[in-house]
Amino acid sequence: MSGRPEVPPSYLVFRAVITAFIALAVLLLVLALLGSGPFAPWLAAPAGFLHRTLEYWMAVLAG
Amino acid sequence: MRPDVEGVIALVWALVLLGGVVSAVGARTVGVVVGLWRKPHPVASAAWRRTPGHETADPAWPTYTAAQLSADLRRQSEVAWQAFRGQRRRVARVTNRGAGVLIWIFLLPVPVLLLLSWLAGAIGMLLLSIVCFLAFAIVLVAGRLLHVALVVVGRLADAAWIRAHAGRASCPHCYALLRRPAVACDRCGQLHRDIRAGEQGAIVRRCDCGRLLPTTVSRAVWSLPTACPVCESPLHAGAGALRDVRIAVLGDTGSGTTRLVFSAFDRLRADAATSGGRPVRLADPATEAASRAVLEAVRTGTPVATTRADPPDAWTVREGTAVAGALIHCFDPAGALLRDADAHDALGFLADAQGLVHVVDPFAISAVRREVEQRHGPFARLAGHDDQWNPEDLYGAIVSRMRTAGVRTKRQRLAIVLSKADLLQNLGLAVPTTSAEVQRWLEDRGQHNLVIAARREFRAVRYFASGRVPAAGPVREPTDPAQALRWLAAPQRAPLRVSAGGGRASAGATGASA
Repeated sequence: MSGRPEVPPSYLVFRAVITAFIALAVLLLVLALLGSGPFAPWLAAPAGFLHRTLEYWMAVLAG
Repeated sequence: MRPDVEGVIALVWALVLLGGVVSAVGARTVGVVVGLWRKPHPVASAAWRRTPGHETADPAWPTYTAAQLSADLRRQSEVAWQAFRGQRRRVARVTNRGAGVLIWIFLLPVPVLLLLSWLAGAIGMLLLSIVCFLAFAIVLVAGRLLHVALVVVGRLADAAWIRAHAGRASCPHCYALLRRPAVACDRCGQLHRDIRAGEQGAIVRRCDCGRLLPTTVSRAVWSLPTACPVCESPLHAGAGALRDVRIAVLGDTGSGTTRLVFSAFDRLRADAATSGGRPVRLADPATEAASRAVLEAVRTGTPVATTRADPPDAWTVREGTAVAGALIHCFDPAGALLRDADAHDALGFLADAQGLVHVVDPFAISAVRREVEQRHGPFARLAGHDDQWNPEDLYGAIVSRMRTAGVRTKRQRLAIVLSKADLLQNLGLAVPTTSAEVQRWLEDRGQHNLVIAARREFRAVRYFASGRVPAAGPVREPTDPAQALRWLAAPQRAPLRVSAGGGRASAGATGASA
C-alpha cells in the first residue's frame, strides 16, 4: 500500500460545501423563475422586458 | 391583442424558459458532478510546489483554499460549458442532418423555439456562472479568514510557548543555530523544514504520504524525529522546545576536559537521583557510550583516550521535563585543535556558546611542577605534561581566535576550572575550593594575566576546582566536577544560584569577576 491518498479528506468537505451552496442558489433561482422565493422580484423586471419583446415580435409575425 | 396570440406567447415563453432552465441547470449539474466529484483535476502537492512562490514549501499538501479551490472552479466551469456546447451540437445534428433543409421551410417555429431556448440557456449559463463563482468566493473568503485566524492563533501560541520555555535550538554536529528544527515524517521520512501553521495546514498538515502531522514546533519536536535543516543530522528529542545550553569545554591535551565533562554528567545524574530533583539523562546513544567508556576509565584509574582532532560533536544531557527542561551540549575539542590556528572551522561552536569552561591542568603550570618536584623529586606523572602549553598562553590563543572570528565574548560566561584537584591533594599540596581561593591560587602561581584578561573579556567569570569525587561522597563536594556546568547551565535571566558545597563564588570573587 503506497499510503498516498487521492486527495486530503478536507478537500471533499470543501467541495461538499460548495456543491450545497450551488444547489441552494439554483433552487432559489428556479423558484424565482416560477415567481416565488425571495429572489422572485429580482427577475420580474428582466422577465417582463423579455415577455414584452416576445409579444411584440409575435404580433409582428401574426400581422 | 387576440386571446389566441396571448396563449401562443404564453406557451412559447413557457417552452423557451423551460428549455433554457433545463439546458443551463443540466449543464451546470454536469459541471459540478463531473468537475468537482467524478473527474476533478487534483493539484498534487508536488505540482503546487513547482508553482512560483512555493518552491521551498515542505512535502505536504496545500490547504484547499490555497490551491485546489481555484483549480476546481476552473474545472467545473470548463466541464459545464463543454456540456452546454454539446447540447447545441446535438440539437444542430437533429435539425440539420436528421430533418434536413425541409425543416427550415415547413417547421420553422421548431428551430426558432430551439434557438430561443438555447439563447435562454446561454443566459442561464452566464447567470449560473456568477452563482458558481459566488459560491466558490464565499467558501474562499470564509475559509481563508478561518484559516488565517487559526494560523495566527497557532503560531502565536507556539511562539509564546517556545519563548517562555526554550530558545533557539542548535545542531550538535554542524553547530548551526536554528530558527526551528526540521521535522521528519515518521512514515515516509521526508523532512519538513517549517512545520508551523501556514498554507499547508492550520491545525494539522498532511504529508505527501498521507500522514497527518502537527503544526506546532512545541508538539512536533516531541512526537516526531527532528533533524538539523542545514546538515540534516538528527537532533535530540525536544530540541527547539527545550532551553538549549551550549558549553565549550576547552583545555590542552591531557588536561582532563573529557573526564571533566563525563564526571560532571555523572554527578548531575547522581544529584538528581539522590535529591529527587529534576531528572537528568544522557540524551543520545553516542553520549551514553562515551560516558560508559570514560567513567570506566576513571573508575579503574586507566588513562582516558585522547580526544580525536576532528570537529567535535556535542556530548549532551537532557535536564528537567518537557515543560521546563534543557538540553546541555558540551563541546570537547581536542587540545591540538585549540593550538592549531588553521582549525577555525572545527571550533565553530565557540561563536554561539553561552558559556566556556577553560580547564587548567595544574601540572601544566611551571610553578606547580617546581613545587611538586621540590617536595617529591622528579615525578613520573609530570612527564606527560612536558608539551602542554602554559594555560595562560592557551587562553590567549583561544580568545584571540574568537575575536578574529567576531565572537562577542562579553556576552559569554567563563568558568575556569582547576582540574586534578584530587592529585594535588594526594601530593600534599593545598587545594583551593572557593572561587576566590582558586583565583588567588592561580595568581600566586604566575597566572595573573589569565585572571586579569578573563575578567576584562567575559561577562562573568568564576573559578572552580575539580577532582575525582568518591562514589559514596557527599552530593556536593568542594571539588565536585559538575559545579561549572551547574553555573553555566543556569538560566541567565534567573539570578545565578550558588551551590551549597563549594567552588562557589565568594562575595569578593563575584565582585571581582562578574
